[in-house]
Amino acid sequence: MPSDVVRFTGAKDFRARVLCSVLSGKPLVIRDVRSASRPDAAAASVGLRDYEISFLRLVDKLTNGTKIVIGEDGTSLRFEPGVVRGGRRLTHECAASRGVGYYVEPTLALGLFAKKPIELTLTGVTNDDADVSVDVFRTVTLPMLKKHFGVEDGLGLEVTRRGCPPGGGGSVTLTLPIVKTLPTLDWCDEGLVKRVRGVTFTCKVSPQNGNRMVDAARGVLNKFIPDVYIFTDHHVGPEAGKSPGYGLSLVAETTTGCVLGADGASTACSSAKDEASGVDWSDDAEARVPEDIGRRVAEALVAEIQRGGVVDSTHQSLALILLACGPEQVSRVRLGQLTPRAIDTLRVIKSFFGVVFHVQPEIESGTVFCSCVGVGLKNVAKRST
Amino acid sequence: WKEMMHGRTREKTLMEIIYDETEGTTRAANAGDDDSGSDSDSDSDLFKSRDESDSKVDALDSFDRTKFLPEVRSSLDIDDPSLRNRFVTGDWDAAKARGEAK
Repeated sequence: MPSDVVRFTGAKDFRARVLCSVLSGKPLVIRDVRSASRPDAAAASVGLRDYEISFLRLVDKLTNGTKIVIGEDGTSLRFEPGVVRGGRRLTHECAASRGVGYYVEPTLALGLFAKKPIELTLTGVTNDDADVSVDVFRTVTLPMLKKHFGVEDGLGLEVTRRGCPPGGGGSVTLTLPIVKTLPTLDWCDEGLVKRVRGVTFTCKVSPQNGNRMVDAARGVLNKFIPDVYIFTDHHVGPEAGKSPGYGLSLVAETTTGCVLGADGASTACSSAKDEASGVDWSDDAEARVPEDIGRRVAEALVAEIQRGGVVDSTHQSLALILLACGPEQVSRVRLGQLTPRAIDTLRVIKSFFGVVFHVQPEIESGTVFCSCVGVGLKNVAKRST
Repeated sequence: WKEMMHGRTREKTLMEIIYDETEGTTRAANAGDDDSGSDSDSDSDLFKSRDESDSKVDALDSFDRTKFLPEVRSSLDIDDPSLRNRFVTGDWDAAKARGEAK
């Protein structure tokens, strides 16, 4: 029905729009994607990017009957969602201009409502500065899903090869179970941070860099908590990917089982540098040494802890989408200060599902209580046991 | 009661900031970010300078990223005494009060 079509303008929050379109079954039209009206825009920067096309291809792979029509100049998109099929032994080559995290996150939400459990191998860049890295995904996102969204066993992400920008060459395998419904959540207790864990990786550089990052990160974190342990992980040969690089990811666990993560890498993806040049990416600073990365990431983790909330700023958007898909009862979650992306996601959720979150700021701690009545999305493919 | 009224308007403002669709997304996103609910600023939307419309286009196409490392880090106040109470090594009573705040 034409009246169901949801229309947007601009490239903003592309993934969330496509994701919600598939989950809600409503067609999506996006126009004026990086349209040429920008005076400074070069001709090459008009329209959809390669990583967005790559993401659409991935969605196409995971679904049956999806119709994607991209306008001639690439600035308009018509997307008619199909049924999420899922399946085993799927592979997808991600565009190297974007991290694997870009693709993994929406896939996660899709996969839960697929007909069959997903086993998907993604190749490309595993760690960069713009998207959630595979380490944080493994140590924060998946436990969060398991513990709070009641997703049973079968979740996993295996990193077989690392890949740093610009070359990429990493490979990860994501396995996802399917769920019948998501649970109602009342998830407001942040708890206190009881331990910090982390892992560094070094690819095609001296393993000593790992220890230097660990030292710098400990220098920040040990002022707050003694229980800090950071592993170092050195990669050589083919499992180190195509480009040299190093990075660190940290995870803080609280007494109530919330996990907050932060991570950073030595190199940034080309898309990030092209499109958001105002942001301080890793290799902007010419001589960014491992100590800097260690300190940056550790400070980012402390900042996440200071912001509060049961999930970190990276996962706000995902948590909100999953809440909106939940049963038709009131769910509540406590978040830190909303990121611009989370705000966009709230808008997208409203346009597709009609779910309006009640957003109540708690001024004392700067946190926000978000509550909503979900749409009660059910996965009919999952047999009730 | 003034405090209460103030709180009430602010609460409404945040909801409005998020769900007000007619307003330019740029301003809404920014206002939501600093959480200070600057309603008075929205009047200036009537007068769009060239620069402003540019930044609006920018915001419509803004880079879709997951991590906000520099932004998060820049808001860090590492000497804040209440930060210490977010860890098990800090004051548990203060943390409890925070947890129960609504």
